[in-house]
Amino acid sequence: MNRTIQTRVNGRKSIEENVEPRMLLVHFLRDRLRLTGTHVGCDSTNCGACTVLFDGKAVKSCTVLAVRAHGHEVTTVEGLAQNGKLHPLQAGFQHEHGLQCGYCTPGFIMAACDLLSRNPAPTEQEIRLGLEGNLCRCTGYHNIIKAVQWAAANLAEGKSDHV
Amino acid sequence: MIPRSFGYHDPATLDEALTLLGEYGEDGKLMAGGQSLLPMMKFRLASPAHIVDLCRIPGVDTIEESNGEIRIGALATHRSLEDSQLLKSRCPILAKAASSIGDAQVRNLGTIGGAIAHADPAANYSPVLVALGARFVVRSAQGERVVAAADFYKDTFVTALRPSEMVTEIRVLAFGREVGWEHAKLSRRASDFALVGVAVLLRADAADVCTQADVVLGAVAPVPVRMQGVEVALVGKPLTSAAAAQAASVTKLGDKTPSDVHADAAYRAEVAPVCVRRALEAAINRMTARNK
Ligand SMILES: Cc1cc2nc3c(=O)[nH]c(=O)nc-3n(C[C@H](O)[C@H](O)[C@H](O)COP(=O)(O)OP(=O)(O)OC[C@H]3O[C@@H](n4cnc5c(N)ncnc54)[C@H](O)[C@@H]3O)c2cc1C
Ligand code: FES
Ligand code: FES
Repeated sequence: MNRTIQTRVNGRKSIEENVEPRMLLVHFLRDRLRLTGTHVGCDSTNCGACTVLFDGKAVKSCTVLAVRAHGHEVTTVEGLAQNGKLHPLQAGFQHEHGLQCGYCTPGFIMAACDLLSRNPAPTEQEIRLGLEGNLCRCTGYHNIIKAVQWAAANLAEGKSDHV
Repeated sequence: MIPRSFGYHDPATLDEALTLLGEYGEDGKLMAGGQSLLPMMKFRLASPAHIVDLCRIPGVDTIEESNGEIRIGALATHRSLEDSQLLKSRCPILAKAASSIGDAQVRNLGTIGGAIAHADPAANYSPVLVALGARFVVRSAQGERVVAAADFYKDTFVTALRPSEMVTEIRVLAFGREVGWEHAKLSRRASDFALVGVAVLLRADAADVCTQADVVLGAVAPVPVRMQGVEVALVGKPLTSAAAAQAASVTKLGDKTPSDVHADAAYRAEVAPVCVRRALEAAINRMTARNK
């Protein structure tokens, strides 16, 4: 039986009717809410391109049923910028050239959000380990690490407007 | 990839969940973190007619100690085990085993109960839980029973659970710095399943002579296997790296050692003694560090 699900996505309340229980969270976000910043890469829980925050914790939205989000909060990459100012992680990826094709980037940024909330000053090794659930086929990861370090430093200084 | 359609139920209490599971029998499947079940459903390797989702049941995810026994709710996530201060001080081998499961995203959702019930031979917890002599509380609408970890795992993806039963709690004995321990796995990439997994617990007297050794391997057979030869070789010996090397050389895999694209049985047999030696050395180092 299809369900009506109430969620808070990027701070905004959303009520969606007629959601099939087998619908995956990533399709709900992309096809229902038109939040296409969340990508589908492998569709098999490996690449992390579909990572979003579920109640503040990074999850792979290709491996969560959308009906589970009922009564919960979801944050996607679209929810990070505030009043037109990029989040330090977004700015960090720009500043340190942390992307090439950009397909993996939203997933990396959301996974890094969770990482920095647990560990605001990670070492390089901790960043590499913390982002092991995300794959990038372009960059070779070095600049992704630098982007996260840049964001950590700027978050520590309490700045968020540096674009 | 989208799973086949299913009837979806998200009961608010354990009793309701168990009633539903009893009703649907073979047609029903519990969903905990969904990190093994949902991928299988997407690949259509599993197509349950009914899903009983445990995500709205409160209170089954606590980690507590009473009278030297740690009780872990089946819905505790790998992340909560990894982060648990109680486990870090009273059963650190479990916190470490949790911390190397998959990746952060998988650990945020996956649960210890789900991992146990899934019974993947290459999983992290199973050799650790057998080494610890863990006991699993198993419930159905009819009642409760307690199953020892060593009796729980029956075959690849097969356990002692009946279709109407759910694991509700994992019980292990707490230990302190007197025990040397290690969980390690050899895997192809950091987030991959073990090719060989090792769990080691060592106890010794005041002169560092081994009084008890528990050495259990994962991923080298359909179920976790105790390395009795290695254990016998250690007990009564002073715990030195020479003793570790000698005991590790006794490591012997059975004829059910799996071969797959990542590692054939001969490779696993070759690396298993190396994994055991390194794990023993790490456990001995932890134990000797306690005296400093
Ligand atoms: C990319 C990736 C990497 C991974 N790497 C590792 C790894 O390195 N090591 C490792 O050990 N695991 C790994 N896993 C598996 C992970 O540990 C899963 O979390 C776990 O196997 C299943 O837990 P779950 O809570 O998600 O269970 P689910 O997927 O919800 O359920 C799994 C099975 O258990 C049943 N079940 C669930 N809960 C219960 C219960 N309480 N009682 C009875 N039956 C129950 C379900 O019906 C189902 O059959 C990985 C998974 C992924 C996706
Ligand atoms: S698309 Fe979800 S992990 Fe790759
Ligand atoms: S930038 Fe292309 S996959 Fe990462």
